[in-house]
Amino acid sequence: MGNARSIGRVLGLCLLYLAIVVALLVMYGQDDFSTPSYVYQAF
Amino acid sequence: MNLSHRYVRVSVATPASSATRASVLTGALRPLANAPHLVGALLVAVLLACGSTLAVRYAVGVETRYVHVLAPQIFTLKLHGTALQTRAFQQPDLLPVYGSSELFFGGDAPQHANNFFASYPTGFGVFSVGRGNTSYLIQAQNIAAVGGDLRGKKAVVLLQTDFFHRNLVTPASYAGNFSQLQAYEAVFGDTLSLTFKRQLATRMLDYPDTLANDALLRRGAQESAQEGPLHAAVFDALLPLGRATLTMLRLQDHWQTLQYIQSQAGLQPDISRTARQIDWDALARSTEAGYKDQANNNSLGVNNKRWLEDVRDSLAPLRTNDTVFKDRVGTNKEWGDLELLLDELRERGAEVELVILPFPGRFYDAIGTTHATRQMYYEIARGIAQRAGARIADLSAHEYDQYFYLDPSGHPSPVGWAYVDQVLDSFYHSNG
Repeated sequence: MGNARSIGRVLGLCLLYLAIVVALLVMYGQDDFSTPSYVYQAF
Repeated sequence: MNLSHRYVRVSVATPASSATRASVLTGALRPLANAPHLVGALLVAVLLACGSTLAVRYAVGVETRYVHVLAPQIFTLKLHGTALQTRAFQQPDLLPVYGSSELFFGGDAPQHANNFFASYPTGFGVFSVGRGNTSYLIQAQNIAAVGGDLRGKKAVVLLQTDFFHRNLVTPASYAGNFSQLQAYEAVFGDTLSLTFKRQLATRMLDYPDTLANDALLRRGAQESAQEGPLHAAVFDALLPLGRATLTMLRLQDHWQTLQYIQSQAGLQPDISRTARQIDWDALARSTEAGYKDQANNNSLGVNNKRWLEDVRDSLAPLRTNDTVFKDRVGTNKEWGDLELLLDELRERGAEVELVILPFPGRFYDAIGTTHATRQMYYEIARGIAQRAGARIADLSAHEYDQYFYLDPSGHPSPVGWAYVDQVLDSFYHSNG
C-alpha cells in the first residue's frame, strides 16, 4: 500500500514537471525570435 | 584464496543470496524513495532526453529529404539556421555557395546558378546561402555553426565588390543578418579551435548591439576574445549554461525548419534531374545574344530597367577618385573577415573556391576610378585566397564586358552568370 502510494506520488510529480516543461515551451515558443529588420542598400 | 571464496558466493545463486541482494538493492534505493521530487525530475529528464533524441532524428530525416528542393531557394531560416546547411554539406551532389545579394538579384534568369543547376545538368545542384549584405563575418559564423565533418567537402565563396568600395556593412545591416544560434555556435560550440573562436569573438564584439540583450552570449564572447587563465576560467564556468542554451537553440532550429517545410504548400521532396552536355562557350554567346536588348539604353553596361529605376539619377553622389578608392578598399575590415572565413573553412578541412567577381569597369571608369587602381582590389583578394589555400576563380578579366553586369553593384547579369556557372561546374568536378 505504501509502495503504491509512493509510485503514485512519483508519477504525479512526473506529470507536474512535464506540464511545467510544456508550459514553458508554449510560453517561450510563441516569442518572435527574428533578428532586427533586414537592411539592404541597393542601387 | 579470499578472491575465489567471493567468486563462489556471487556466482552461485541461492535463494538466500538473492534475498540478500534484493535487500541490499532496496537499501540502496531507499534514499530515492524518500526523495520523490528527485526521482520525478530524473524520470522527466530521461523522458525529455529520449523524446528530443527521437524528434531530432525525425527532423534530420525530413531535412535530408527536402534539402535538395530547398537548395536553390533564398529564405531567412536557411541563412540563420544550421540544420539545412549541415544537411547540405552531407549531400555529395550539393555545392554550398556562400554569397550575398547576387544570390537573389536577377534570380529569375535561367542562367542564375540557382536555376541553372536546379535540374542537376552535370550531376550537382547549388545550395545558396546569403542575401543582401551578408558580410563575411556573418558567413564565418555560418561556417562555425555548420555541424558534422567538413573534411573533403567543397564550398564556394563569392567575392562581392560592393562590400569593399561602398562600405555597405553597417551595424544595422550586420544586425539584420545576425543569427543568435550561429553566434552561440561560434562562441560556445565545438567546431572551431580556440584561436578561431578568439578572432571571431573579437570581431563579433565590434557590433555590440547584437549582443546587448543576451548577457550570456556577450560575456562568453568577451571572455573568449581575451587570453589568460582568468578569462579561460570564467569562460569555462559559463560553458555549461552556454551549451545548454545552444542545445535549446538547435532544437528550435529543427522545429522551425520542420514548420517551414510544412508551410510550403505543394512542396515535393523529389526533384527532376536532367543530365546534359554543356558547351560553355556556346552558352555564353547565346546568352549574350539574347540579353543585349536588355542593356542598350546606356553605355555603362547597366541593365535598362535598373538604369532607369535606380542608377541614372544616382551617378553624381557616387563620383569618386583613385585616392578615395584606395583608402576605402585598402582599409576595409571585410578583408580580415574574408581571411577568417577562408581560414576557418580550411581548418575544418573543406576545399574552397573564391570566385572573384569583377568591378563593372565602364561604370567605375565613369565615376572616377582607373583600371590600374582597381587592380589593387584583385591583388588583395588573390593574396588572401592563396594564403588560405583556396582555389581562385578570377573573373576580373571581364571588367569591360558590357553585358556581364546587371548594375553598378556588380550583380552578374545572365551573361555574367553563364561564366560563373562554368567556374562552379569546373570546381565541383575538380579532383581537389
